[in-house]
Formats: sequence, C-alpha cells, structure tokens
Amino acid sequence: MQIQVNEVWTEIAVGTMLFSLRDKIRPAADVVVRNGAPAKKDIVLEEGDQVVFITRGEVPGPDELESLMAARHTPGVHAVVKKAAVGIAGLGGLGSAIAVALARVGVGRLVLADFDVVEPSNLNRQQYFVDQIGMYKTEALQQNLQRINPYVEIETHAVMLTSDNVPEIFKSVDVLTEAFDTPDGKAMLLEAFSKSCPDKPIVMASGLAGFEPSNTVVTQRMGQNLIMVGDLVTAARPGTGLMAPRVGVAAHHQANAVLRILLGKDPVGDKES
Amino acid sequence: MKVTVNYMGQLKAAAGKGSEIIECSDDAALSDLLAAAAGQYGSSFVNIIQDETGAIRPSLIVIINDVTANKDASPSLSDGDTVTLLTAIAGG
Repeated sequence: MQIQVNEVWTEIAVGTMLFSLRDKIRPAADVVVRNGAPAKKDIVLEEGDQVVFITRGEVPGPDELESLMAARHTPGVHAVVKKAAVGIAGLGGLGSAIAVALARVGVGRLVLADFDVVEPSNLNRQQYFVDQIGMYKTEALQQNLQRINPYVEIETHAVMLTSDNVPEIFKSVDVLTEAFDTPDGKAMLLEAFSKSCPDKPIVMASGLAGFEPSNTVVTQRMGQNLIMVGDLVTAARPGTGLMAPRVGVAAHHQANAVLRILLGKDPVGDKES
Repeated sequence: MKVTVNYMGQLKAAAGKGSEIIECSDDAALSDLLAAAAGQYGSSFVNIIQDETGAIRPSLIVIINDVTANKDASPSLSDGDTVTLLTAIAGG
C-alpha cells in the first residue's frame, strides 16, 4: 500500500508499524508526526497515511525542509495552498501579519504591494525589525518571509495602489486581502478589484483599533465575493490607537478566511450544512 | 418601487436600525436612494455618507444584491433590490 513519508509517496507492506518504519528510514528521529499530530504510541499504518520523521535539533537538507515544515498541517492542506496565489494590498499591521501567517502555512505565491517604508511607529504592531527602519516594506517583508519559508514565491510592488494599477497587479491572484489603513483606500481597492476580477474573493478588514474585546472582531460575508473582518465601528483616531494584539486578531481572521477559501470551504461557515 | 436597505456598522448605529424598506420612484438610481436615506436621518448619519459639499464619501461601500457596486456610476435600481451600506473604518 501507499503512504506519504516526508511528503513522498512510498510503498510499504500492509501491516507495517509506524515505529518500525521510523527505525528503518530515520532511526535517529525523535519526533514522529502522523497525519498532522505527534504520534506517541506505535500504530499500524493505513493506506494514505502521512508520516514525517524529524530529528530534533538537526537542520534538514533543502530537499526535506519544506515537507518537515508542513508536518503539523492538517493532511492535504499543504498540497492545495502550495498551488495558490494570494494578494496582500498594504503591508502594515494587517498585511505584514497576514503575509507571515500565509507564508508559514505554505501558500505558494504572495503578491505584496505597499508604497511606504518602515518607520519606528510601525514597530508596535507590524512584522518588521528595528534594523529595517527606512527600508521599503515590500523589501523588508520579503526578507523576513524568506527567512520563515524560503519556498514561498514572492512578488513585490513598491507602488501606491490606485484604481488604475490594482487590476494589473492583482490579476493573477486567487484571493485578495485588503490591509490598508485609510477608509478611502479600502473602498477604492474593493471597487477596483471587484470590477476587474468580479469572480474572485476579497477579504477586507474594518474596525480593529484599540483594545476592545477580541470577540467583537468577527468574519462576516457582506457580498457574494466580499468577506469582511472587524467590528465595523472602532476606528483608529486620536485617543484610539492601533496595537499588535487586536490588529493581529483581525489579521489572523483574514488569513484564516483566505485559507478556508483556498481549501474550498466557506470562509464564514454560514453556507455549510 | 421598494428597495430593502441594510445598514451596517456606523450607519446602523446612526440610523438606529439595521434594515428598512425605502420606497423610490421607478426610475431611481443609487444616488436617489442615498439621498432618500440621508433625508430620513440626522447629521450623524448624513456626515458618514456625505462630505461637506454633499458629495458621497469615497469610503462608502455599497453592495447591491450581493455584488459590490461602483457607487460613482450610480447604477439604476430595480424593485425588490437589496442594498447594503457600510463605511470602511480607519486602521490597518
């Protein structure tokens, strides 16, 4: 029968035990992951199982790294997201956190766009470092993402997004995420992308400032291809700042909505039986 | 004709309701509907959707029958349409 060992389909005999296979293939492995979860007990392997053997502390070779990075994914996820392309418009608190989450889950290609550079005031919530102050966010985030997952293809656009260039820049993505700061920019992106790519979903965020309760940030369907994250009311303004925890909550709502879309699931859950 | 209007977020708070049916003329367009909605409520509602000159704010998001509308084109409406209105909120 066939199973996947470190993401490579492998023929094994029916009745093969998990730990005996480990002892045969990677006897030094001290971490055994079966179907996305650590295996503590020996078990008879089944057709289609996905197993990964890891030697703790050992840096794997490039041919093995990607499969080991995805070892804790739910089985089947990595193969799907690896083929996907996601656009991220705006690389601030939302966009940089969305990018990190999607790179970690192994989305194959990310299209990143932002005209701005990293500033000290960004570091309270955005996924950059002190030594990146002054760099274009596209360049800084590309560096950081490649350190996290070198297998993600990254396309960058250090430009101001407008209704004129949005269609061309994001024409190849499967899903677009809106991660702008300004209300006008958010609405512009929605209208421009919906006009040029009416059948593709866009995941937006609106209402994520301050330190209101996390559970007031929700994922809602606003239209056939419009998913909206946030509480819809709490704006960034004098007296109400933007901070890592709640911006991060919203960003990860967006990233999870993207993941669900790529996996063919309803991003909100209201269309599932 | 009758159009169902859904108010979300700040507009819901300003209108004091989440949804209502607005009667419009048979040849009404989106701009007519927005003017009708604005006429029903006070300045807190109007200031969300219009600027000081009375122009529709760029931050307004309009969904007509589940599809994002180009609000500047003021598309025509039909009897039974559902229009969802919300404004994008600063922060990202």
